[in-house]
Amino acid sequence: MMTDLDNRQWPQRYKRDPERERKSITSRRAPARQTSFVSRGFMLCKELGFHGVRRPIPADESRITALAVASRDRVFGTTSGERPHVFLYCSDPSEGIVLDLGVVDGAAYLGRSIVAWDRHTVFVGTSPAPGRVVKCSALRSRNDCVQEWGHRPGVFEDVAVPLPDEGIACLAGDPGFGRLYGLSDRTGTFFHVDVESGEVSLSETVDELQHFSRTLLVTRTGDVYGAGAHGRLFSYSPHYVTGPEEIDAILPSVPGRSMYARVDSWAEHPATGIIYGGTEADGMLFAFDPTTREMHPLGKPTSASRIPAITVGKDGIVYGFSGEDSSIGQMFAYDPQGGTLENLGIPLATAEIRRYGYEFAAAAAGADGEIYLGENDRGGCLFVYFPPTPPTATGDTG
Amino acid sequence: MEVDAFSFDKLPIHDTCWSATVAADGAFYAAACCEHTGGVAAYMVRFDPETDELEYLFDVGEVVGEPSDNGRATQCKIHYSLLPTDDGLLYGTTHLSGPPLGHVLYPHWGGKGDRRHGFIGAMFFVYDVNSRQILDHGMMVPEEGSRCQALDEKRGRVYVAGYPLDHFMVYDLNTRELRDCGRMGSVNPQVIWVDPEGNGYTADDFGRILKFDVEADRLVELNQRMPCPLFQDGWHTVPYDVVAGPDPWVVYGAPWHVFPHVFKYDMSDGPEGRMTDLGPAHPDYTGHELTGTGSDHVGGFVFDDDGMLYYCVNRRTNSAEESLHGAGSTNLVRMDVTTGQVEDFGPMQCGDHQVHYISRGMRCGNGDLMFAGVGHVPIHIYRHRPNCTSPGTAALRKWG
Repeated sequence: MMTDLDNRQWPQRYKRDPERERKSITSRRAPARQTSFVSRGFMLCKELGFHGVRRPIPADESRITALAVASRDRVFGTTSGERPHVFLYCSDPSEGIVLDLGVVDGAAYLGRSIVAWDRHTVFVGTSPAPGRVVKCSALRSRNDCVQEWGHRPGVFEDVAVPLPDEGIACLAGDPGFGRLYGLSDRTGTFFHVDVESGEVSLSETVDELQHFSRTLLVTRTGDVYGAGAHGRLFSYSPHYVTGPEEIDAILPSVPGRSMYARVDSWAEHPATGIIYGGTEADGMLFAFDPTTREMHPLGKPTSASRIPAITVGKDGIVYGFSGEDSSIGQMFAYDPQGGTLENLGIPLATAEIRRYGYEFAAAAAGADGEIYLGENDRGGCLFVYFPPTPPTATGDTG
Repeated sequence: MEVDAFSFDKLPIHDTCWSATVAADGAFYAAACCEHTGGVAAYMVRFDPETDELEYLFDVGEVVGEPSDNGRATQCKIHYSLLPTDDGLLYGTTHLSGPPLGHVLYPHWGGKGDRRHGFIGAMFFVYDVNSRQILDHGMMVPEEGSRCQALDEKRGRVYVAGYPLDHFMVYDLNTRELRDCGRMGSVNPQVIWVDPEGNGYTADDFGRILKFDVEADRLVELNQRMPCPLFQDGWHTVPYDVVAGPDPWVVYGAPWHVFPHVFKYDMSDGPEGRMTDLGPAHPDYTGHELTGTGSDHVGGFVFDDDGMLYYCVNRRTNSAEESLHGAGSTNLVRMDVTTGQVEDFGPMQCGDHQVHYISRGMRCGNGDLMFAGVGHVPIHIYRHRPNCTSPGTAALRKWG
């Protein structure tokens, strides 16, 4: 078993990386070695609790699966795991804490079923059957979070049970229209709920094969988008009484793999109305124009097969996360103006908690340009990314 | 403190030794690791404390079927993952960081999932110290390294801390199934230990004790925390080294952190055990010193036959820069755990050879204390012979 060590030829041992030590020919030479982590902007990591004061949401119940910005100072989120929670990040500078609003009783999974209705109210959809639409109200807190405070749990109230035999796969909402939209988790039945009355309207399944995407998007015009089998998009307009209709647009995929294509995440650009999204089968980034109904593949940010989180920042940049389960994903940025796609690296936070971010399942954009990333991991945390300030004409960064 | 030093001269470029243990034959087994040269796997070495003979056993890459010149990140290390059994087996599981042949560095995060260049996973071997044969080998944790392990011998389970994802996992040696209990944090604990019932323990990023409770069959967080200085918030207080005392329900150890405190943890005291702060390992440090985890390192916890606790404490030089690069000394310290009295024997050295860093300490079958060293190429291991009144016995430590 022992090898002949006396005559073994060993590889050369470098004391230092010669590439790193090499002098550049010009000062513009790019560094040969890159950090693996996001190295531009700044990132902080918020424990799902009042850090250092209160126990956070238990580690096995803290996988963040959805985020929704309700106002400049309020971000709601849901977790999954052994028990699903609804939480509220109070992002006002005087607070900066996460409140666990409570466990949604009777639910095992909340998925991508969160709709921020106003500053104090959020709706979530539960699974498994019977899937309920639940309203959670966050009561006002008092004072700042430095010297005196008083926090109260959320108030949960059942609003509707769209299909008693099914759970809710996803939920989207339009406060202007007073409606919530959803898909059931088994048959993909499209439904909407009148928030005021709790009345439920059911449509047909969006996909007889039940390969539908587990997410819906409501645009600023009030139209609802989703995707059925083979990545074919459908839309629903509340201005018509008919149900969702297929449209002539298909998610991008590697040839021969369209049967696996699903929308993993998507977000509407607030300025242009373009929908940017990522697919689940092949991790492709795409842009869909609802006006022309044209679909444009934009490439793959990483080699991963998923883009589980995407949002559009106040700076007009599309931020997202590309990665797979139990692996290490990376954050990316797509600039629609320049058409550039950049891999920003692995999220790494050094404020509040020092933590690597490996898996994420939700993203949302804040009013001040910050990007929220919901960590889908045991002991999951809320990451907040502050992109770098664009350089000014004088070269200053402001 | 003068110690005996033994150099792994036949392994001229292996550079670190993180894993060492004493097996049922009373001999000292060390894994020679090669972190900083591409295309070299770890090598197992046996030291006979009776004859002072070093025996070079096998190339780990070869025995696990992942030769070091195959273009992938190498099976370069065994990191706190040598586990002896009472009946003479020795389990070893590999760790990452060595680059592929011809490469200078391996990107721990960037290399994950790369089937061509990346680390294929933590692979185990089973070595029979009696027959001197490899009995088995296989994959334990795909795409991850094994930072540290502990053995629940009764159930045939291995507790694993993976790297870089920092998941706590349980590997069943009988069924070969790996169960992932999920992530612990971002700072890898450097030790998992077991109590006599086979429960597994470690800590998260803030020093909160995590227990794999065999009755509940799950990982739970206990209301106990490893001690730290008052000026710290507990972050990075992950355990570095832990040894069982004369009472196997009571362990002693220190964290992997700057300004570390030595602790005692009695796992039988109540449902969550009781943690006791035994004070700073560097009582003269103020907390203002610019230090690093290497310069303040404490490791090599081991009990002698008389029940005295020994450990090795890195001391800074007056130059902070030098200290960060390992230029300080490593002092051998003895604690009487019955009184708390501590005696510092000063820098460990063998003539002009200065010890830089001790990862692990073990007690051999003849009562000698053996220490695994880091910081010299070739690798050195060290011996201290305490003046014990009790007969020499091997202490089989069921964790790395």
